[in-house]
Amino acid sequence: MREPTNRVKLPFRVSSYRLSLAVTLTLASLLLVGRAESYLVDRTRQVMTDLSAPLLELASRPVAAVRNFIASTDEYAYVFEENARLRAENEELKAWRQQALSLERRVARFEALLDVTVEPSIQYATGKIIGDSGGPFVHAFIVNVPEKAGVAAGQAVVDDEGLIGRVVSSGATASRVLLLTDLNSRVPVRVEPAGYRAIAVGDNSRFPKIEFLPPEARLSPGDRIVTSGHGGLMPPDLPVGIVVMASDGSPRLQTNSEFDRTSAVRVLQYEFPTRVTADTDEAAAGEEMAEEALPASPAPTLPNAEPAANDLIVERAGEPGAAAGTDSASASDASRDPASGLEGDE
Amino acid sequence: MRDLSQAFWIAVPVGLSLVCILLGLVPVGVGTGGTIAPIFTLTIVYFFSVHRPEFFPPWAVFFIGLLQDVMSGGPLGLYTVVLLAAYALTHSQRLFLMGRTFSILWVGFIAICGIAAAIIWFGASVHYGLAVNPLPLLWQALITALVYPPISFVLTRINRQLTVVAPAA
Repeated sequence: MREPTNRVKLPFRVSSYRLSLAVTLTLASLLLVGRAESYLVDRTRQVMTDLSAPLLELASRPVAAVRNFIASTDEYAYVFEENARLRAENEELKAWRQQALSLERRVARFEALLDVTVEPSIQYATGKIIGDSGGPFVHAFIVNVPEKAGVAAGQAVVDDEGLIGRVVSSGATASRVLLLTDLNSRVPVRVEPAGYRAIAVGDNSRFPKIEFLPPEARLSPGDRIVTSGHGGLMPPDLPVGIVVMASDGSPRLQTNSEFDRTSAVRVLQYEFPTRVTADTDEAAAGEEMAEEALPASPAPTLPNAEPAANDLIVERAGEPGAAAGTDSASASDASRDPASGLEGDE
Repeated sequence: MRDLSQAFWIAVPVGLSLVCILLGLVPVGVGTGGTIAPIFTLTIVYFFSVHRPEFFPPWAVFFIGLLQDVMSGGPLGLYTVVLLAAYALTHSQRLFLMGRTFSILWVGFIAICGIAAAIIWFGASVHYGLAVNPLPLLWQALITALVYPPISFVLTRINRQLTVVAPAA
C-alpha cells in the first residue's frame, strides 16, 4: 500500500543539504560580485544559444502567428484612413524622388571630380527574431542568422525603420543582438541638421541617453539622429531615431523602431572603406595619422579609428551641401586637409 | 537504490526549469516598454522546494540559475543567487507552507517575488556599479506572481503523478 502523499517526510540529510546550499550560494555570489565575464562565458552563451535556437524557432512560430493575426485585424480596422494617408504621402514622395534623382546625379558628378572612395554596397543577411532576453537589465534578441551568413560581432542590425542594435556574438545557428536600449549599448551617432556628434547610451529605459555632445550643442525635440559611422563598425547615416526631451531637460533618443513590434531584422555586413588608393593619398593619410594619432583615439581596440573617421568626413566634403559653393580645385584641397574637411562637413 | 531513483527524478524539476528558461526567451512583444518576461524558473523552484525538495537539490538549482544567467545574457550569478536564495527561504518555511491552501502558498510566492526583486536590484546595482531603475523589476515581480496560479496548477498535477510513481522521499 503506497502512501498518497509524502508531505509528512522531513528534509533528507539536513547537514548535507545545508552544506550544499552554503557552497552553491557562496559560489553564485562570487560569480556575481567577481564579474565573471570572460571569453569562456561568451562562448558558452553562444553555444547554448545555438543549441536552443531550433527550439526557440519552433516556439516563436505560434507567437508570431498570433501577433500577425492581431496586427492584421488592427490594419483592417484602419484600412480606409491608412489608404488616404498613404495616397497623400505617395504624392509627396514622388516629388521628393525627382529631387533625390537630380541630387544623386550631382553627387555622382562631384564624386567623379574629387575621385573619392565610393561607399561600398553593403551586404546583408536577413533573419527572424526567435528569442528575446526578456530580462529587466538585458535588452537583447536572438536572431536566426548564423555565422556562416557572414555575421560577426559589431555589425549593425536594422529593421525596416532603422537601427535597432548590434551583433554581440554569432554562432552555428543563431546570433545575439544587443539592443540600443541595453545598459551596455554605446553607439556613435550624429544629430541632424546641425551635425553634432554624440554617443547614444543605453540605460535600460525605453529612451537611451544622448551623451558626449559638444558644449555648444543645442538640440530640439524632433531632430533626426543617424549613425555617425565613427569607429568604422557601422555604416554612417543609418536612421536611428529622433531627439526627445526628458522631464529633467536632458536629451534622449526615441528610436524609430519599436522593438516590441519588430519581428524580422537585417544584419549589415559593412566594411570600412579604406581610402588608400594612390601613393600621394597614402602619404597624406600617413601624415594625418601621425599628427593626430593617440590623443584623439577613443577606442583602444581601433587605434586608427579616429583618423580614418576623419577621412570619411573629408570625403563627404564632396557632398552637394558642402561642395556646391566651391570649385573642384578648392574641394580637392579640402580633401587633403582634415580640418577644412570637417568645416566643410559642418 | 533510493539514491538512484532520486537522481533520476531530479530530471523532472530540472527538465521543467529548462522548458521555463526557453519559455522566458520566446519573443512575445507585449509592448510593456521593454518586453519583460516573468521569472518562470522561480515558480518551479518555489513549488519544488515546498513539495519535493528531495528532487531539487541546491546544486540542481545552482545549475538552473547559471543556465538562466547564461541564456539571458545578464550578469553571471544574478539569477543563480536569486533562485538559491528563494530556495533557501522557502525551504526554511517549508513546515509552515506544507499542506496549506493554495491562497496561502500564493501569498508566500508573492513575498518570494518581492524578495527576488530586491535581490536582483541589489545584485545588478553592485554588478553595474550604479543604482539601476527598480521599476522594470517590480513589473517583473508582479507578472511572475501572476503566472504562478496556472503554473502551479500544472505542477500540482505533475506532482500527483510523481507521488504515484515515486512516493518515497
